[in-house]
Amino acid sequence: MSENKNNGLSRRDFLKVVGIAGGTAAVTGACSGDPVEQIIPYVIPPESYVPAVPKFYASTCRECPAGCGIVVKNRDGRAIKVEGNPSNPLNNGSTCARGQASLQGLYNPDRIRSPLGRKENRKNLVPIGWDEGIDTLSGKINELVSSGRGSRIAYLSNNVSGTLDSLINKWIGSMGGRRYTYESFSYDPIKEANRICFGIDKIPTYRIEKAEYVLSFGADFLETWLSPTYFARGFSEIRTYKNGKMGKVIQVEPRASVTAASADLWVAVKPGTEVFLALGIANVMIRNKLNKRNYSAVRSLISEYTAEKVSKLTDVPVETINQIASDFSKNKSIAIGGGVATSGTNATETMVAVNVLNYLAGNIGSTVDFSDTLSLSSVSSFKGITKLFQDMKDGKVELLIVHGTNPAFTLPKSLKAVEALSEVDYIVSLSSFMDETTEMASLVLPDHHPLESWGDYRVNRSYTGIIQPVMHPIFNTKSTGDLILEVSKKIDSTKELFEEPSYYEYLRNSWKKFAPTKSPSSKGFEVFWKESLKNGGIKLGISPRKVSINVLQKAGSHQDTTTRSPQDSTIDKILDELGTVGKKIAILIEKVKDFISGVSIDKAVEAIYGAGVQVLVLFIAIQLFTYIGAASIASIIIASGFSYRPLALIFTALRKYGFNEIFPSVVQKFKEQGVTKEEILITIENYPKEVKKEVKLKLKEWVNENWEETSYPPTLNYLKFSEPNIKGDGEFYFVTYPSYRYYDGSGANKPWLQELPEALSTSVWDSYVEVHPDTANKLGIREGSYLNIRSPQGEFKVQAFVYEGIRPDTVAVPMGQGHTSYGRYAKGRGVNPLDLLPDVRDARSGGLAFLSTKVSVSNAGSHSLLVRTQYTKTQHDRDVAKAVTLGDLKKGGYDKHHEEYDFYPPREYAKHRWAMNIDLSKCTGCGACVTACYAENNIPFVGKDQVAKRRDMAWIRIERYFDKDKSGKMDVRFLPMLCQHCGNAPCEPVCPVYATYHSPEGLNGMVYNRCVGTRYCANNCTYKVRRFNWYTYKFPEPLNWQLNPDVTVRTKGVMEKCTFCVQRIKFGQDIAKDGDGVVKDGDIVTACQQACPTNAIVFGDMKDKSSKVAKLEKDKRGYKVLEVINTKPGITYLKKLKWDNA
Amino acid sequence: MNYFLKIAPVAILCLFFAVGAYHYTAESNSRGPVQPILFSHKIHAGENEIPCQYCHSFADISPNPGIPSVQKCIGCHQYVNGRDENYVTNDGQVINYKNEIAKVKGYWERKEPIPWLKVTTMPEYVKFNHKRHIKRGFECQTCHGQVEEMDVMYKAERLNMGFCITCHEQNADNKEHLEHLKDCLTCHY
Repeated sequence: MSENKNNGLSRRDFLKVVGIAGGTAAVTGACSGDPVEQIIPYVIPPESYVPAVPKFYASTCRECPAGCGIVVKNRDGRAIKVEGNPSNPLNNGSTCARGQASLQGLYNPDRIRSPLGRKENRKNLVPIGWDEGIDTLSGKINELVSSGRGSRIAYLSNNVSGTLDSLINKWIGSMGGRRYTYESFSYDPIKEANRICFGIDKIPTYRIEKAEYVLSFGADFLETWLSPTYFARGFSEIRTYKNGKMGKVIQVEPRASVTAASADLWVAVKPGTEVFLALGIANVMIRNKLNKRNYSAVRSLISEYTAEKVSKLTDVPVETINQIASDFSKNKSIAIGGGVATSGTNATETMVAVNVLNYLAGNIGSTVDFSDTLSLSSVSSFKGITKLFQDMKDGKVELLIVHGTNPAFTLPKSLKAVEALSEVDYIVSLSSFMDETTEMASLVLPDHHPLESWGDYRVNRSYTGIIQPVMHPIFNTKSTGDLILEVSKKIDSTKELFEEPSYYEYLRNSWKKFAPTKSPSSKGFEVFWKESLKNGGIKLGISPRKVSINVLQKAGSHQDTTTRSPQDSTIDKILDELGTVGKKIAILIEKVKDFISGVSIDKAVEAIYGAGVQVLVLFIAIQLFTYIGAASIASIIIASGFSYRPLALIFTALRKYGFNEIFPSVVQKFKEQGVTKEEILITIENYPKEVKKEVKLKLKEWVNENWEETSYPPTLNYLKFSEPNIKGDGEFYFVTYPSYRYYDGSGANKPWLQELPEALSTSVWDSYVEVHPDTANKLGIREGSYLNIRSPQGEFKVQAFVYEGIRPDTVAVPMGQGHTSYGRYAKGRGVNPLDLLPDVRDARSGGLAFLSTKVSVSNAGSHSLLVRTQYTKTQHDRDVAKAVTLGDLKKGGYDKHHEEYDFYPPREYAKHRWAMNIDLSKCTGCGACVTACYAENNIPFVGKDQVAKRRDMAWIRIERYFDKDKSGKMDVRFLPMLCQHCGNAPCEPVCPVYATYHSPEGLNGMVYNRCVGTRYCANNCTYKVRRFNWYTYKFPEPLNWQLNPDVTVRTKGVMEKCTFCVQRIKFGQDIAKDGDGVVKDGDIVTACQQACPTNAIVFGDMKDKSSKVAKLEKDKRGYKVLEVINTKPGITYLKKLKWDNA
Repeated sequence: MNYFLKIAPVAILCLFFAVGAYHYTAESNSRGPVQPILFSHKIHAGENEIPCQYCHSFADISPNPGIPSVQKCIGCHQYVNGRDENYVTNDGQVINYKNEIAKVKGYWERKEPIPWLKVTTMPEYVKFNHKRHIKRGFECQTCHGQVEEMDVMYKAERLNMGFCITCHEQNADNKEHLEHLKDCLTCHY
């Protein structure tokens, strides 16, 4: 010590000096004036621009084919939040997690920032200019078209139904190229089954909201199936308790999905045997005379499937089958099929069986609505897509334009899509992201993100949504519509094709067809256009389509030809009314009788085809008999100068088979032989004047409306139901299912979705395989153990999630991970289950069979933590997520509210007491609220490593508990947990710096700038909702553009938690103060409440006794979580309502 | 002697400390940043009596008052070209009216925004709503000082929390209002 002193400063002096120096530096540093920032004014401000006041633009979400309406909040030129559009008839103001995360697609740091090309055959794609890109593409096309190889151009896009679709078709068509629309989940079996049963090759609208009993065969309607937010709203209706009643949802599938977790009953059917269960239910319905429609049509199909036999085939108890049959027929019901049930080789048969159920229960035309078919119906069949890939392999495709789809990832390896793509001379990708397909491209011309584009999207027959740019494009991208217009002007054969200078003009022109006023320059159109933009789309009037259930009735009649079908009398009536013509025909009919009676339907159709287009028109006329009358038919016959022989043939054939069977066959025959609509229209037009004008008009109208949709005759008669053909010799069925977070994998590059815990496993940022506890025991593994999953096609190693909700003979891996490209957040993460699938299709529709292999599973011998946000599975008897049965609720067996005596006087609130109500009956665990909260409140994503350390930052989390009900069935409870804004908050008194306190409006305030990071509050929080910033988390440019300027971005060392969206409360109050100063109930909506597809969350002012939240607090089902601790939470939960016996 | 040498750095640091302390306690820096154009609020708001909200037109409709666009400047200055005379500012800088106005025109012709430097800043965790204060009838000068006398705009008040709270306390209508005005969440979220 003394030595030190001699040599210089002592330790003590040194510390003094350093201390003072540090202090001085701190003081002078902190007070040396404010940091000088620039403020950049506009040169010319945009019209009606007000800084810091948000603008809202209506658009359409394009994250999946559902096409929900959204409203995007734009602040100072940047889109910062996506919300549901309340005026949209589908999603009705809600969104899903994927919709919320579309912003992270827009601001994704891995977006392609400019056109890319390969120069001089170099390996890497390098940035090029747009002029060069467009010249290259148009040069390529010119070369092909001029040498007569236009048919070797193919355009593969996702379902861009609407104006862009017709633009692409027109452009590609004019060059003789081929057009395909590919969706990873195209529901071919549904379409094919509908064609077989009803002659309509379409996906109907399933009106779940109108049903009281939903019988779902594998359809994950709350996750990805068709239109999840729309169905979630329907689910909410079903779950609404009114007049002592509640609807019921039954989910039939081998693994309990998130949808099954919300269902009243999960039926763990043997994979692929859903078809027999449906037939068995139908069988019981008929046996117990529960059917509402005549069953003679389908009797033969289902007679052999007795409940006992079906029970053996499907592992479903007979009592369950009987119960379902009874409930299904007695209530207003709907049966739907999707997911695992429609992904075997017997998928179409399953859907036919589902259709039979709907038919028997009288649901066709009520809950199954064929008048409003989805645009998704018109995507290319998987058969068509495989044909395209075959052609690529054979070198028949020289130029492939890929747009909005990633087949190199979404098709199983066994289909050899990558090999096929590599055979294509020149691939042009219009993708905005470097994905697996784009990596193979020679030229990349990046499209705008949908949030930057003009466009429209036809959702179904009754609604077309508008896509409008919600902000200026971020990167040097170009919308595909504009690209096509520019390229087409440089191609010799399409130079004159389009007049419009921009796609925006093209879009507007195409919308003139919807406008009430037709003249293009009229003011009326401007008004209409603005109105449509404001509403986000247009509702179109549709005529109800009558679905011919006769088809089903006729199906039975082939066994019983002696009875006359109702049509026969019509034929006789027509013949009678035809007068002399009719008599002559009648005589001839006698003559050809012997010939025709021995002829099959095919032969008859062949003969009718031989008579030409004139005969087809006559057919249509007969079809329209009730509208146009016999006289008109006679006039057509005379005008056409028919010989009587084909006429006799027609009428005899009609008598024998009836319209519904013979007519579509005839049309199909004509179609197959290349007869076009135009040809028929010309034939009609050329009739002499004996045929009245209005009859011609009627005929033409019918042809215009129905020609495209009329197709092949139903083959229900000959249908046999079979078990799925499952390959592989392993002992476990391999189930893979679309993830509600990543969809087909397109969501995997969005960190919000990666960090959104999957509702059941609560796993993040990775893949896992679900195995039953018994299976786990047998394999000697536990949660997090690595398993080798092997099929003849491949093998991968993945961590196990031990899950009660899966059959012991099945393992399941969600789709969407396992990218080998697609940006920093997706690449190299997890496994792609499609790698294990063989090249197997549904036998009838040709759709891709996901349920097609068995796998062998073995213990890989290693173990690591399966990173999740909730490791505990049960409630440990704490009864956090409560439930009550309907019976108990009616009997009053619920907790009585009673005032506890308190040492302290109750807290008084002067003006407001902000509070929330969450209905656990309605919560489906979908995570929309979680992602919405991330978006609204600048919550950072922290990555897998940090989540493993329990450092995830979500302000609202979905807790899920697996319980068993009295009968031993799995009972999943979801409980959204967020800051309870306690009236008596444990976090408040422990804060040494008063950074957290109770506000006079009932909020548990969190003042970031006061917080010194002791974390006492988090330790003392009963609900564990406080989150600590262990780092200053980064938002890589331009993800930071999304940050909400109304919310402080927190830095390292600061505690944070749910604020009840205090910025929205302030905004609401601010708006109110501009008016009468009164905040009305419903004016302030929190981000989670806004997003919730089932309206489970209600926010409001408890001091306002008429508010929804105040009323709901008094609900019989209302309770506070861990009420006994006396924290007096501001959030009331409504107990989950359960059936006494599901 | 040795000891003195040893203590000298400490003393010098103390001096720094004193300077720092002076900076902290003294009224705000009376010199504002050097702007790309010597825009004199004194000439505009003082001598010509142009109301503040003529240029800062969003102050009563938005939390953010906004700064005028170049288009707004040129709206007047296409007619007001300035005399070819000198002007001496409060702190002795000499400018030429015409030359200074020519700079604005230059930005306009080049269609370039003027890179103004921010004078009055608030940390991110403070949410100050101009609209509410203006609508309640406060003068801009309450916080921004006598802008109409400033040639070079500077931050007249420190605008620390004490400044805000003092004013909030003085202007509360009643107890309930006071409670609201002193609530942390009024400004911090």
